[in-house]
Amino acid sequence: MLSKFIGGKNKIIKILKSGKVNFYITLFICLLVILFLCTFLLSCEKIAEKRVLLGVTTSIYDSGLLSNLISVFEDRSEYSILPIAVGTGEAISMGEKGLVDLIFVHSRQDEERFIKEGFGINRKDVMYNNFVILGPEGDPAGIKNLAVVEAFKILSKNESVFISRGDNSGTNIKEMSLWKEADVIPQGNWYIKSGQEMILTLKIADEKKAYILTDKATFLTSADSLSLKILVEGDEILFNPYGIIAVNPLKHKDMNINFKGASGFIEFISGKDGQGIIKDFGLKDYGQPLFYTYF
Amino acid sequence: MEIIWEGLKEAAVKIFTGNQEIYTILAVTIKVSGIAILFSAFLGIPLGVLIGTNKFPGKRLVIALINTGMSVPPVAVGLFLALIFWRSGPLGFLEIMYTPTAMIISQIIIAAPIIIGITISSVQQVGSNLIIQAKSLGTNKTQLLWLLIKETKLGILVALSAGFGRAISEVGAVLIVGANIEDKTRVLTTATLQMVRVGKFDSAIALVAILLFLSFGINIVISIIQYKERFVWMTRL
Amino acid sequence: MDDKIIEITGLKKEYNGKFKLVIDDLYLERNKVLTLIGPNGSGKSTLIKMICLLEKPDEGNIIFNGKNITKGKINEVKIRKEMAAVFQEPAFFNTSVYNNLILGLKIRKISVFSAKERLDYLIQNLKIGHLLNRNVKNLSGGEKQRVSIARSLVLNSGLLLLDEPLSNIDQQSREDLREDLFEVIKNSGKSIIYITHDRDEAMMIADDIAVLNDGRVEQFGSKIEIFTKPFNEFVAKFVGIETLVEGIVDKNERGVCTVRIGGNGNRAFTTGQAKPGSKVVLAIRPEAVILYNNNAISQHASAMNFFKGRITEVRNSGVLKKIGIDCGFNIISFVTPDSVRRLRLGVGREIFAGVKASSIHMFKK
Repeated sequence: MLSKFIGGKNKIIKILKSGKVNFYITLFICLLVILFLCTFLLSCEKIAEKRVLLGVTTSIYDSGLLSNLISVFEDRSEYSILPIAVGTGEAISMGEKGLVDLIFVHSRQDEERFIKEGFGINRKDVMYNNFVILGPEGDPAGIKNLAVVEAFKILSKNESVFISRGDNSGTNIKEMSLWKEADVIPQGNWYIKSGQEMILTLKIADEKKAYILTDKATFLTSADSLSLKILVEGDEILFNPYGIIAVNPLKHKDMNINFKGASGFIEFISGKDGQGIIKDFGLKDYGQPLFYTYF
Repeated sequence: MEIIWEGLKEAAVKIFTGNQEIYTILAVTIKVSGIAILFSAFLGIPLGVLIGTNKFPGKRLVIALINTGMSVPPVAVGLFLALIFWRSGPLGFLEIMYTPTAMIISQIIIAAPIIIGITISSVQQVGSNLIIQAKSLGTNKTQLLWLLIKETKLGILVALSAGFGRAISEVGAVLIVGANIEDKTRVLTTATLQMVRVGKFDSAIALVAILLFLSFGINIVISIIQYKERFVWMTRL
Repeated sequence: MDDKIIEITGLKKEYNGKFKLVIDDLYLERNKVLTLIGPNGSGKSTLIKMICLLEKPDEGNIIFNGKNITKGKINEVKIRKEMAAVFQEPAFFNTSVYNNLILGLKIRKISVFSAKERLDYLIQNLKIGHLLNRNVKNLSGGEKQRVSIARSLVLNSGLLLLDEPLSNIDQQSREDLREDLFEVIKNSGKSIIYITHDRDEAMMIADDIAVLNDGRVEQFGSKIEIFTKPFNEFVAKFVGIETLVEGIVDKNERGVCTVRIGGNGNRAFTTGQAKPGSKVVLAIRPEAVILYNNNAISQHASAMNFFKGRITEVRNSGVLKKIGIDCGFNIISFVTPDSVRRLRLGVGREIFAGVKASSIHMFKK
């Protein structure tokens, strides 16, 4: 019995001494290091249940408002909000697929359809501001103070250079609806699609001394660097409301939609504290708030 | 021109006054790319040496694949990983989308082929005569692997520096899988992009300056090491 | 002593689709030197690589220390550690000479301390002491080879394999290195396989010789055998026999053959066992040809062969003079410059060449 055991041990020693096993041992150690790094990484991440993925439109994200809201919310809650900045259209699409837990966008029509089709529940009106039409200082097309639809008709007739976002953003959706109201299909050399975010698109309009539709908040934050002026504002049709909607967990039963966390943030942002932060945002730097609250 | 100068000033000020934001961005950048390179190194260097010095069926195909992998567009990697790690994807349950882990994985996919590919061509310079000599001295596979790695260490350093350079300078992959979330997945490249988007061009230039400095710094260190190797006379181990 | 450290039987190896190496029977006795000589491309290096288990034969056996290392489960690394090889083009790692010297010891887990005496001896005798701290890349060809020899010899392996160690060294350094190398390997007392294409090297170092040509062993035997009794024209030419004459055996009387050669109805007498009527080749070493001014002396000499001819050339050959004579067939003789003067040898002169029957080596055509 004992001799068999010793024989076996000798055999193992013999195998160990052969170079082949040493080689595989080295590779094995490398793999261990790799695995260790993996687990190290995974442990660094916050536990999944505490993450709330927020699909938010770029105009909100770029304004910087979210940073304030999120840091205050995270102080008092166990959840962490991860904002994914995409266009309104993309945010809604991600909400439909269940890739995020809640969406914060500005396109009433699409928001209502989102709820109607059962993708979202618990919608709240959070804040609003207005769109404005900007143009070069001389206003060659002469649209100052005209009604929006009228202004669009003239711009198209004159073929005045107009810069569009050309993406799936809330601003672009609004712009296209205005063209529709004016019964115009904008096309031609004068109509340029930037495909970029608002601020960069404003810069393009500035360079080209063109006309452009933008939300007032973004205009306020970049006004210093632009030579463009507000030519049309105040029209009812330029109302720009932002809404927040939780993604319906029942639509995606097999995915871990964090409904609780989403609802918590919705409550916060539509409650006294959240609304307070929004009301104050931008007052100091720009003399007026970038977003207005309902309450 | 003035704007560049403003940007450089801002960069210097922010770094030396210990600006929290910049440090966090820098830390995430180095953590993500650093771990990606470490991983790729432990995986890629032995693999590169083995591929380069052994004959096996399909060797040419493997090398062609690796060479293709060296220039894969980062945005394609980002998209591919998003499809996998989104909740709707096969690995969605891991919930690693929008985390540094996903970013590290994307950078491993981007950097590893570079490290492996350059290691392969470096080790092929070693020459079969040396390998024959080493074998006749009685090396086993591990000893041979280790000797080859030491002999090609300059080439390997170049591989690591190239891999790291590509990792810290790519934006497509980390943007898609990380979403540029403040304090969590924001790295130098995506932060720069964000600054450009919001029109803060001096901040953008500041970040770019830091990025270039980091890249440049690594290359200087490599060059110094290469230079020193030329004058190796006394090398008692 | 029939203790063979290495024996090769029935070996066949084909590579590049065309070249074929065939060795029926070859062996090295313990503590002896076997030299493989042959022109480039005759398969010598391939054989060394197969012994080191760096390549596998297609067929056949290599038996090392009684164990068949070409069949069954072999631990290649372990076998290689019992040999040491010096290659034609030495390769080193990018570090100092000293580190390269001890690298083999480290690989084989031999403590440098225990090998110190050997190492010092080799450093001294191979004259590389002043190079120890230099990076190998900065050495000359001859110096590199010295280091290569030292690092292989310090390993104290039972079997040493040297593949044309002096071939890539310039003429001047070669003789110095040859002297040092041969002293060191003779003193090592190890079993040695030495490959070269240089006849003189083989002459100096060998105990046994195998002559290879085009993948075949033309002849394998002791040094004396090869040089005095070549089997065929190739070996004869290779060992430096310059005179080869074709002929037909006329008579064979008690071991003495009369062979008709050349055009002038010349007859040569030689010892051998050929049957009358068979076609043969006579090999005559230049050193065995004595020149005479006078035929009369033939009556009083023990040499049975006297050929009359005319001198066709007088050339330098090392310290001797090479004399070419046309006797109806070509015969070459080596004589001292002194003799050239004394006999007043010059082109066109009539001369007599005498050769003992026993100095003529005969083999079948």
